Amino acid sequence: MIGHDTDSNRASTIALIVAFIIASIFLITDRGSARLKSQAATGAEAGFAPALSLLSRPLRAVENLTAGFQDRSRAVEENKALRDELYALREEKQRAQIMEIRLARLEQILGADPGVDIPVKKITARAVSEIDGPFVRSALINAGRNKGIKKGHPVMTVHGLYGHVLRSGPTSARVLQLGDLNSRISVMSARSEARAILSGDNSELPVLAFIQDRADWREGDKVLSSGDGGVLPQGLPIGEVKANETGQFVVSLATTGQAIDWVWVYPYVPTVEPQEVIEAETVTKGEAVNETSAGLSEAGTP
Amino acid sequence: MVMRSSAQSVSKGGTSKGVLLLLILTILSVLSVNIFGRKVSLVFLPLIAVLLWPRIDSSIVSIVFILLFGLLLDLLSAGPLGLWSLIFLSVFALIRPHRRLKAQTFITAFRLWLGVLAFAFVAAYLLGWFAMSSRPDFWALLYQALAAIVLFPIVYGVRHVFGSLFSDPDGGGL
Repeated sequence: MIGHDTDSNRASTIALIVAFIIASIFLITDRGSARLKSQAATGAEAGFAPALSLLSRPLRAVENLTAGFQDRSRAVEENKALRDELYALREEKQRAQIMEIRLARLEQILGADPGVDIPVKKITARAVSEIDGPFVRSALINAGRNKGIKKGHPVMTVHGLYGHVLRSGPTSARVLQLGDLNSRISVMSARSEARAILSGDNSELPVLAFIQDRADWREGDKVLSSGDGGVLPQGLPIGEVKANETGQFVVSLATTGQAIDWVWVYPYVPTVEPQEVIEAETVTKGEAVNETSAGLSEAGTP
Repeated sequence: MVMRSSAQSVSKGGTSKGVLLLLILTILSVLSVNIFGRKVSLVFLPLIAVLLWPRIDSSIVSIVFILLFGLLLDLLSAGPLGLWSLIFLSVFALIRPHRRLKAQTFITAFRLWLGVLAFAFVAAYLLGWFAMSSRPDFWALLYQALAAIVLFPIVYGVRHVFGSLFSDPDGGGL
């Protein structure tokens, strides 16, 4: 009996050591096996998305209940503030209409058609699982390739840009939030059009990085996507600039603190580098240079 | 011979209870709740299942399931692969439920839970730092740990009720 217990304990200790080694190998080689992990994660997400969708419903109901209490407690003062804002916006609307007419005329004179990057089509989805953890900030949505969602598509909420699609499965997609450590997007100030990179650091306040010396950023500036690099459309609202305790500019995201339930995905087609054209041009130029140099060498030859 | 088959059936029952609780808590752990403007994830929640793992269970089968569910949590939470497996296994190695001689009361389980959570907190912080090459958000981790402390009595109570309903011969297996 004692011998059996000792054997059993020894076997479990060996099993535990083997399991530790397997888990450690996974952790150490995590970056090297990105493709394998991506496939496994897509499969796991697709399998668990329906269960998560079902379980998230009562949670969203609790969230809406607490949000409802908060809204009711400040309904009177919000009503007054909204009325004041409405009066101010009526005047602004008239000005905007006049400016729109002027802009249209100027564009007509110049023959310019800048257009708007933001696609008209929207793909609606539900965020069934949201991870706001210390290691990663992402969400799982219940729509994937079946709805036309692809990697890189911007994901919005009613409050502003939420993130972009990291990978798309058959019926679900993983969204990387703006605050995630791996998130980097080009942004601009709505006031000065100064550019920067919004760099996530797994906190609630991602930082503005790569700010040029003369760039005019101030606290309170509205931050929009700049569209630089062609990855995201220009003009998606992101948040507001703040200075942290060290004086560094950070962004208070418009989606922070909001219950994320429904989201929409823009099927934005990124502006890609015209590699083929460049390569073709390079080949053509190369041939031309060769011909010229050959001609020169021939000419230089005595 | 009869005794052996009886022991095996008890062992399988214990495994299924442990696995069921671990599965439920793993799925719940990837949902986050927004309470009064603060999003709280429940990533530490599956550790309760590891802590309350039935002591009558076969330890090798338990280790395999705990490894697999740790990997599943890593995949579902989009975190570094192997992180939660290592933490789950470390906690299992610390408590070794199959070596426990008698069932735990709520008070002893809760004290143990606080100790396990403190250990898991430090392990998650250090392993996450190693895996991501960047310091994890301390406050996010702390809020998750606090949420797990608050939810422990509920999970314990639910498990105890279900354990009684299915007439666990081990008194809930704690």
